[in-house]
Amino acid sequence: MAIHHLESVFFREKVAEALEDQTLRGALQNATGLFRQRRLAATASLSDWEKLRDQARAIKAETLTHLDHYLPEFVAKAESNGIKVHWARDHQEACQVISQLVSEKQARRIVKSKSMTTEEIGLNHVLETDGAEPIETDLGEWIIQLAGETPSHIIVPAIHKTKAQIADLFVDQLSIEPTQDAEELTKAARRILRHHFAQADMGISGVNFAIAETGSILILENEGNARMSTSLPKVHLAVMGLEKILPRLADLEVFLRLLPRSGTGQHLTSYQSILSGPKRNPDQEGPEELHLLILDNGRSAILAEEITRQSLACIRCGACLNACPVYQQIGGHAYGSVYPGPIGAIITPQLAGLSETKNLPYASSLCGACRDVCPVKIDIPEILLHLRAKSVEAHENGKEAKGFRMWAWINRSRFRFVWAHRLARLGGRIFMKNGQPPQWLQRRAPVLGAWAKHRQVPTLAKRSFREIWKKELSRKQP
Amino acid sequence: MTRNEEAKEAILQRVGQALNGGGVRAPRKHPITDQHYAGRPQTDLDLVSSFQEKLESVGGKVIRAQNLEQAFNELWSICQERGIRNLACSDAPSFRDLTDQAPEGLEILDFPHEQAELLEAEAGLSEAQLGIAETGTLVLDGEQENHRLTSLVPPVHIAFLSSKNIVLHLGEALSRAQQARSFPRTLTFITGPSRTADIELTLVVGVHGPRELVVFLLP
Amino acid sequence: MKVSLFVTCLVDQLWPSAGVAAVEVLRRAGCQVEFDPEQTCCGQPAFNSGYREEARKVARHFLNVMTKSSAEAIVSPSGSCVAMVHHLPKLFEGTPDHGAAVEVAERTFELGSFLVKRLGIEDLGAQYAGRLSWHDSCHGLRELGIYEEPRRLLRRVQGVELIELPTHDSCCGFGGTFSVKHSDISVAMLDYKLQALQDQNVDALVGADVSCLMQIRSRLQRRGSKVQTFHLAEILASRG
Ligand code: SF4
Repeated sequence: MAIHHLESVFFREKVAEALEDQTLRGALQNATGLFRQRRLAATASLSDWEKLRDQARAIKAETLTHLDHYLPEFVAKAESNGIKVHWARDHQEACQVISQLVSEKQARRIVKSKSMTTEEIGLNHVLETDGAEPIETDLGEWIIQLAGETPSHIIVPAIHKTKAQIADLFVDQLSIEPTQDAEELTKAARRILRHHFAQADMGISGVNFAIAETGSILILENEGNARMSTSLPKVHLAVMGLEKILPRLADLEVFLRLLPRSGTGQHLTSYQSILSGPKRNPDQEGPEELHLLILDNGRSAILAEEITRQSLACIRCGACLNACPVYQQIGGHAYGSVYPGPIGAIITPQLAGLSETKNLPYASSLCGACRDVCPVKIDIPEILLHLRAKSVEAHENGKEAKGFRMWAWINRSRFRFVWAHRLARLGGRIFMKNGQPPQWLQRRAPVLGAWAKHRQVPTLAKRSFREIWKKELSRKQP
Repeated sequence: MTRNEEAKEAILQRVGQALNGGGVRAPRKHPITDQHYAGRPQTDLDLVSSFQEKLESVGGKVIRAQNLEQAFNELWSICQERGIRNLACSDAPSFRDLTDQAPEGLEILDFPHEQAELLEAEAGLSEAQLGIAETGTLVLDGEQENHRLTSLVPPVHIAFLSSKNIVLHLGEALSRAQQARSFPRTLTFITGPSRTADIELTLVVGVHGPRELVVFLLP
Repeated sequence: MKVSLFVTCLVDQLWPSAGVAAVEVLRRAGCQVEFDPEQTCCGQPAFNSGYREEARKVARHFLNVMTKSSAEAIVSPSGSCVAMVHHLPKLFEGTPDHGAAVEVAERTFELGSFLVKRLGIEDLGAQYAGRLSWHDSCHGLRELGIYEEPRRLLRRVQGVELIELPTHDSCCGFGGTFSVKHSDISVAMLDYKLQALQDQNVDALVGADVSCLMQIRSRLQRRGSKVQTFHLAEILASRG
C-alpha cells in the first residue's frame, strides 16, 4: 500500500516555500474565494440542501457498510455487460496489470482523462518507462503534465498557475505565438490534443460512480475530453477505487445534484457519460473493449472502523480544499501527495501509513470549515483527531509526550496547578522582555520560540481569577 | 488460479474481514425507501420554459419549431448564416436522405463517418431522446441512435428534441432509461457547450467538445 | 438560578478580567454564581493533540469537581472548552465515568448563548462607545452553532457600532499546538483574517474564546496595532 510520489515528510519545507511565494498565494486566494462564492450560490438554489446531504451520506454509509455485497453485485453485472474487470491489491499490481494490457493491445499513444486514482498509482511514470506515450487531456492536467508538475487541487489541477505562467509554458513547449488570452491558449490546446485523440490506441479514464444494479460507470466532466477518450480509441480502460459503488441507478439523482454544486458551483457539469459496456455490434459507436480496473491499495483496511470508514464516502468534489484556511495559505503541493487539503490530510495517511505522513493530521487548526461544506458530511476534524491519537500511540514522540504527561499531572490537582502557574509567572517576570523571550530560552524551549517568532508572548496575569474570586468576588454574592 | 482471480479473492476477503470484524452490522437496507430524493424542483414547473431557461443560462441556444419541416428549414438557414459547409448526421431515422433537402454548399455527411471526416466536420446533428427541465439537460440514448461522436467532435452540436419528451427532474430521466428493455450501453447527458475554467478560472467554451449547442424544440 | 462558573485555565491565568466580567454579567442577569477553586482544565489541549489518555486524566478531575456542584447550569466564558465538555461522553464511552460525562455535558453552556437562549436576556444595561467587530470562533460557531447570540447581545450595548468583517468566521489560526507546530501557517491565517480590519477602522475585536483572543492580541501587539481585543463578557459588563 502506498501512494506514488509521496513527499509528505517534507511538509515543513514545502510550507515554507509556499508561504514565500506571493504569486501562488494570490492565485490561491482568488480561486478558492471564487469557488466558495459559487458554491454558496449553487447550494442556495435548492431548498433542502441539508436533506440532500443526509441522503447522500446515508446511501454512502449503506454501500460501504455492505460493500461485501454491493461490490460483487456490481462486478457480476458489469461482467455480464461485457466489461472486462481487473483487480489490483496495490499500486504496483495496478501498474503491472495496466502495463500488460497496454503491451497486449500494442498501444503506444494513450489519451487520459482526469483520474486521481491513476495519479495515486503513478501510472504515467510507468507507462512512459514502458515506452508508451500517456497524454493528459483535461486542460488543467495537460498544463501540469507539460510543466512536469503534479496537480495541486483535485478538481482544478493547475489552480496554482497564473495565466502568464501558462502562456510562457505554451510558448516554450508548444512554440505558439505569445498570447495572454485564455481563449487563444485553449484553442491551441484543442488543436494539439485533437491530433492526439485521433491517433490514440487507448483511452484511460477515472470513474466518478459505479452503479451496482446496472453494472455501469459514470464519468462527469465539463470539457468533453473524457467523452473523447472513451469514445474514439478502440480500447477504453477505466480505473476506480473499490469504494466508488452506489447501489442503484436512481441514487445518481442525489449525487448529480450534490457534486457539481459543491465542486464548481454548477447545477450540472456539461457532460455525464453513463457507460455500461463495449459496443454491442460493429455498427454501434464506442470502444470494442471496455476494461475496468478495481483498486484496493489500502482502502479495504479503512473499512474496518466506522470512524475511518466515512473517509471512503468522499466524492472528490474539492469543496473542503476551497473552504480550508490552511489550504488557502499553502496550496496543494505542500501536502506532498496527490490528495491535498483536508481530504488529503485524512486519506493520505490512511492509504500510505502514518510513518511517512504524520505531519498531515496536524496540518489543521481543526476549524471545521471542511465538515460544514462536505456534501457527504464527512467529519474530517473527527478523523484528524483519530489519526492524531493513532500517531501518538505509534510514535510516543519523546519530548512532547513527556510534556503532556507532566501537564496532565499538574492539572489533576489544584495545588499543583496553582504552583505551576506561580512559577511560570515568576519565570515570565524574570526572563521576558517586552513579550519576547531571550534567544537562549527560545532555543531551549522551541515551542516558545515558535510562538514568539511572529507574536508577543502573553504574560500571565498578576492576579489569577481564583485569587480575585477569593479576595473580592466570593463575598459579594448578592 | 490466475493472478486476477487471486487478487479478486484476496480483495473481497479483506473487505469481508474488515466489515465483519467490528461487531454487529445494521442489516442491509437501502436508506431511501420512498423513492423520493431531496432537491427535486416543484412539480408545477412549466417543463418547456424551464428547460429553455436552464439551457440558455449555461450558454445553450433553443429554437422552437412547429414541425420537422420548419425545423429543417431553420437549420439550413443557420448553416448558411454561419458558413457551415458540412454537417455530420447521426443515424436517427429522421436524418436519412437529407442530402436532397440540404441547400447548395452544405454537404451532408451520413453515418457512419470516417474518423478523419468527423474531425473536419463543422457541425454535428443528433436527436435527444429526453430533456430534463430541472437542469436544461439533453439525454442521448446510445441504443436509439449513435450519438456519441456527432454530438461531440464538431464545433457545433445541433440536437432535435420533442417537447413531449421533457421530464421534470434527473430522477425521472434515470428511471425512463431504466425502463428500456435492455439498459443502454451508452447514455450521455449534455448540459450546454463544452467548457473549461482551467486557466485562471476564466470561462472558455469549446475546449474539446462543441463550443455551441443549439436545440430545436419540436412539439 | 444557581450557576457554577467553569472559568477555564486560560481565563484563570491569562485573562482573569473575562472571568470577573462573566461573574458580574451573570449576577446582573439574576444568577447566583458559585466557583469551585478545585477546577483546573477540561483536557482539551491534550485531546486535540492526540493524547487521549492524558486528556481523560485531566477531564476526570474536571468531572469530579463539577459533579459535586448542585448548580442547575455550568457556564463557561469559552466556546471551545464547552465544545470539549460536550465531547466528553464520547471520550469516556465504555468507562465508568461515562454517566458523569453525560450529566455534566448536559448542563454546560457557553456564556453568551446561556444568556440569550436559556435566560432570554439580551439587554444587560451595558455601555461601551466604539466600533466593535465580532470574531466567530470556530468551536463556538461550528460545533455549538453560536452565531446570533453574541451579535444580539452586542447590539443592545449602548454606544456600540457592530461592524461585520468579511472574514468574521474565518479561523484565527490558533488551533492549540497547531499555533506552534505550524506557527508560520498559523500566523498567515491570522493575517488573512486581520487584513479586513484596516479598511474598516475597527476599535476592537470581540470574541468568546480566550485562546483565539490571545492569538489575535499577541499578533496585533507585535504589529504595533492599536486595535484592542476583548472578551464578550468584558463588553457586557462595561458601564461606559
Ligand atoms: S471530503 Fe467531502 S468536501 Fe472534501 S473532496 Fe471529499 S466529498 Fe468533497
